[in-house]
Parts: sequence; structure tokens; C-alpha cells
Amino acid sequence: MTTAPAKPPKNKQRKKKGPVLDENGCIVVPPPRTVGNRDQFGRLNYLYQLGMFHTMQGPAGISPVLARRYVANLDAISKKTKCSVRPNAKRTICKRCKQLLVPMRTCSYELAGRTGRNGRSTPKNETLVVRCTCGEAKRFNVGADKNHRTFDERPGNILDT
Amino acid sequence: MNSLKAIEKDALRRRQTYKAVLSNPYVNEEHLWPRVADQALVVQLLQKHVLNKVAQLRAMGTPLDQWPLRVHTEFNDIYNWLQDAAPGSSALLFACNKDADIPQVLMQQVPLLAAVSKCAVTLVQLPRGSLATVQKSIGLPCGLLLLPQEHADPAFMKQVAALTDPQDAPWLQATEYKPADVKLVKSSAPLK
Repeated sequence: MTTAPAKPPKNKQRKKKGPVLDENGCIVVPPPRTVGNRDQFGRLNYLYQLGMFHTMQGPAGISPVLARRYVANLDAISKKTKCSVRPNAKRTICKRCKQLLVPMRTCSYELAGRTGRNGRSTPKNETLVVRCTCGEAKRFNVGADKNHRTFDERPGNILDT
Repeated sequence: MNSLKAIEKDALRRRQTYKAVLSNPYVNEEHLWPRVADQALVVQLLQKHVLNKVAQLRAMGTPLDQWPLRVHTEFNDIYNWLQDAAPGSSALLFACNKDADIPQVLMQQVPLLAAVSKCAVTLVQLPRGSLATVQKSIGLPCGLLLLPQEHADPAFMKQVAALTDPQDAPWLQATEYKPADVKLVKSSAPLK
């Protein structure tokens, strides 16, 4: 006597697929196919390039004033529309006078060593000072951690659209 | 969801998020650094024509002002030289931009400095690991080595210039509109 093979149940219970997790336990989500606010990004991009064009025209005439106005608009629009600009682009804008920082034209560079309590400057105290013509200075403490990368400079954090 | 452990685990759960950011074509480093055809050969030439001589001079204890070749390694020296350089002069600027222990912020300024300078600067990026090779002969505090034309071997200058592409900075000469380069920043946010 041979026994018939057992029939599979009709209502076969399918295993529920759980969320896919990455190595940090974070739920993996595919990147979006489209990006919103494309027109606002285009507007910001155009203002930046216009600002750069007028900055490179030289200090004479109305160009520096226009350049500052365009960059001020860029800053305001990016805040109002919540459209972010990458840090390496933002580093080229003076926070005080809204001028684009181009070395030997609108700003100067200096690698300064801050003196510590003992009055000595060490490589750890080295600071890159980007001084705008308006007198405002951006300071980057490059000596503290020479391998420091901003979040978007680390590999894998920036994706193309 | 009854156990405290499960509640804690759920509270810690995060999901990936994507945020659009505007990337600036003018500060895109991939395009700012000129391509070097044969980087290994450039390092060999640098070793032969500059580093060996510097090592010899240092071993002999020759004072810096009596050296037959002038080499700038400090960032402020290089900046001042590029700023004050006469329009007809030229120089080679070697940069160890791929090595560790070199501040990224400092390196991001170098292509712009070379492009804006009045003199003709040939920007040469050295391969990864070349900082250690160079530092055997001369200390590079910020990974940069500037070699002005007056003190360098003309054949060496020509050879290196031939191996390096000219620097492309179109926004400095004329306006050419570049479309918006929108990227996505990958981050994470807690689940609600």
C-alpha cells in the first residue's frame, strides 16, 4: 500500500516580508525617482552663477553691488523654500556682506596658528582664515582633526539624481 | 509590543531619508583638479629632479638661502608667491590631495588659487601615498610643494606640463550657464 502524498493546504500562508535593514539597523528605503522644487533649485543655481559673473567683472562699476544682491537673494530664497545648498558652495559666501569669496579678488587666505595658554602655537591650533574685503573672517580649525570631513564629503552620503 | 525591550527597540528604529541639495558646478572638485596622464612617472621625475637634490642639500647642511633651487612648502608662502607672481612667470604646484592627514578644506582652495593666480600655474595632483615619499626628503606640512620656474630644470618643467591637462575653470573667463546639479543627501530619521 502506497500512501498518497499530502496535499498542500489551500490557504497557503505566505511569509510576510519584513523591512530590509542595513548594517546599522536602519530601514532601507530606495531613493526617490524625482526631486521636488526643481525650479527653485534652478533659480538658486542661476543666482549663484550670476553672482560669480559679476564678481569676476572686477571692483569697478555696479557689478560688485549686483553680485552681492544676487547672492543675498540666493541666501533668502534657500531659507524660505528650504532648498539646501551644499556646504562647499556655502563656504564661498561671506555671511556679512553676501559677497562671493574668490581668492586674490574678494578675499585673502592665511594659515594662522592660534597661540595656546603657554603662548606657543602648535600644529593642532592651525586655523585657515578666509578674510573677506569687508573684514569678516571665516575660520576653519584645520589642525584639530586633519581627516575631518563634513557629512556630505564622506563617501556614500551623496547620490546623483 | 508589551515588553519594554520591544518598545525600546521600536523607539530606536530608523529609516533612510533623502534630501535634495544643490551642488555647485564651480566648486565641484572632480572637474577642478586637472587629470595627470601618468602619475607614477610624475612622482619619479619629481624624485629625480627635485627631491634627491633637496635631500642632498639638507644632508650637507646648506643654508636655505644658498640653495640653487627654491621650493615653497608652507601654505602662506605659496599663497603669497601666487599673489605676488609676475604675469609672465610660471610654476609647478604639486598637491598630495588624496592622502590622509591633509585637511580637506585647505585642499579645496588650491585649484581656485592656481586658476586665479596671474602666473601660469601647472597644478599636478600626486597619487595616493606620495606624501610619505616626498616627506622622506622634505617636510610638507599641508601637502603642497610649489616649484617656481626660475629655479627648476626647464626639461623637467616641460615633461611634467606635457603629462598634465590644462586646468579648466570656465567661469573665470566667460559665462557659460551650467544647469542645476541637484544631488541627494542620504540620511536617517527615527520612525514615528
